[in-house]
Amino acid sequence: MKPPPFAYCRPHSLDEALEFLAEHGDEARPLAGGQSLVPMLNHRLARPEVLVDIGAVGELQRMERDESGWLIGAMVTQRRVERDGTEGCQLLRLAMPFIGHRQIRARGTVGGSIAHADPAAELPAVALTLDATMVAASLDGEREIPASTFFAGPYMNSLEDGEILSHVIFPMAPPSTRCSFREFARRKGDFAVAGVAAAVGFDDGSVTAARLTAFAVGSNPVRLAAAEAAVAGRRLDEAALTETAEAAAAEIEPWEDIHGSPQYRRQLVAALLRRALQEVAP
Amino acid sequence: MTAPTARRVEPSVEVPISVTVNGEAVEAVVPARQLLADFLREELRLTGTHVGCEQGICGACTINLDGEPVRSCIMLAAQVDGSAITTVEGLSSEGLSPLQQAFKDNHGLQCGFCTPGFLMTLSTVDPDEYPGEEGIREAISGNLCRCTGYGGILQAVRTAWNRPQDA
Repeated sequence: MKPPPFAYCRPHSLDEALEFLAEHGDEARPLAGGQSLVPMLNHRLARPEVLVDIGAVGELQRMERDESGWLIGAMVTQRRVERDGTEGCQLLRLAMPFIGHRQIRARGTVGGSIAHADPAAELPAVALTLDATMVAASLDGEREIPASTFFAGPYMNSLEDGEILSHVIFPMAPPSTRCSFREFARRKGDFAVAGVAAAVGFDDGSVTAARLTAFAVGSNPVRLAAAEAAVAGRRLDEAALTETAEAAAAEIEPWEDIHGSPQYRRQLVAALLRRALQEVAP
Repeated sequence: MTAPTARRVEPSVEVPISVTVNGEAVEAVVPARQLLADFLREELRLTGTHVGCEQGICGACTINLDGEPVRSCIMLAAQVDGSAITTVEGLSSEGLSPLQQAFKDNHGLQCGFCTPGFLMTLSTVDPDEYPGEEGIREAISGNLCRCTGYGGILQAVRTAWNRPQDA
């Protein structure tokens, strides 16, 4: 339960960090807040030759808001977002307290969580629901990656060699949008057995645009296209809630693990989505 | 925060750090792979920081790092260069702190292994951020007591935070 040997460096600029990563290629890993990577080192599930600690890179610490949304640097801690970085972004505000515990959020970062792409993690689900933009940095410049193509399987992202996640842009939802974030875990702070995120726009009581996501049920968070279609244009009456929840349960392809069967996860998603929609109903 | 003029330092298996621990400046050269909990315990002999699960679950290794409660078993010692740390040894210079006294008075510990972690979490967070009885439970949710002595722990926090049980 101790990390294997590695060499460590702590660059103070983004270019220097990218140079180290480029020079050492596959043997190097960036170290963000370490709340997933260090346990993986302790378990020796990860054995990098070189750890590039990006904790002192100032360019990755930006946290700015304008009328279009929040720009959050990869190394901004989840605690800092929870405290100061969610104004005007209801879904982000609702999701932050579900991430681990206070001690984890104190070190865990926005970029680390999203790049790590844990299937049960909250921030990837928020990013997908809000159609966030991931900005990758390399020595060649920046590249924008939409959330819909960023996640590439369990614990996999679509960053290329030589790229690191620089910042994430969470767009501001239209003012009529109401959000809910719900998850079920066996204990507070555990990874979810299943969860849902909802951002729903209304006009005169009817749904104009629903963005619904399930997470912890498969390789990556998934948008619930059938459920979104089922609820479009409707008032959230009993029939709409039931049909939308049933559509979600039917369209996901949950995996089986020690915490739950596929059938159990379908029922969880249906129940969580139903409650989420009840919560956002005007 | 950016220091573009800083000299480039190549990756190394030994890392020099400067850190303040319980108010005292410490200079050390640490193995890159050394966990912060092990540095505190084995190099500084501050064995009040306990190592339980070594994977960030149990909270026994919680310390105060720059005003935040963090788990020292999933941090590298190399990462704390320039930081200020308080461990359970630094909670009081003489006798017990009020929080420690509340744990003692209310049987807030059984075997005591988890106690330093609870104390460091509770002494670091702002009680106002954790209102009511539910707030106490939220505040301690990142620390596990394997003896399940939560009744005494909750009573100790109520006492320390001057919070009646029906609040």
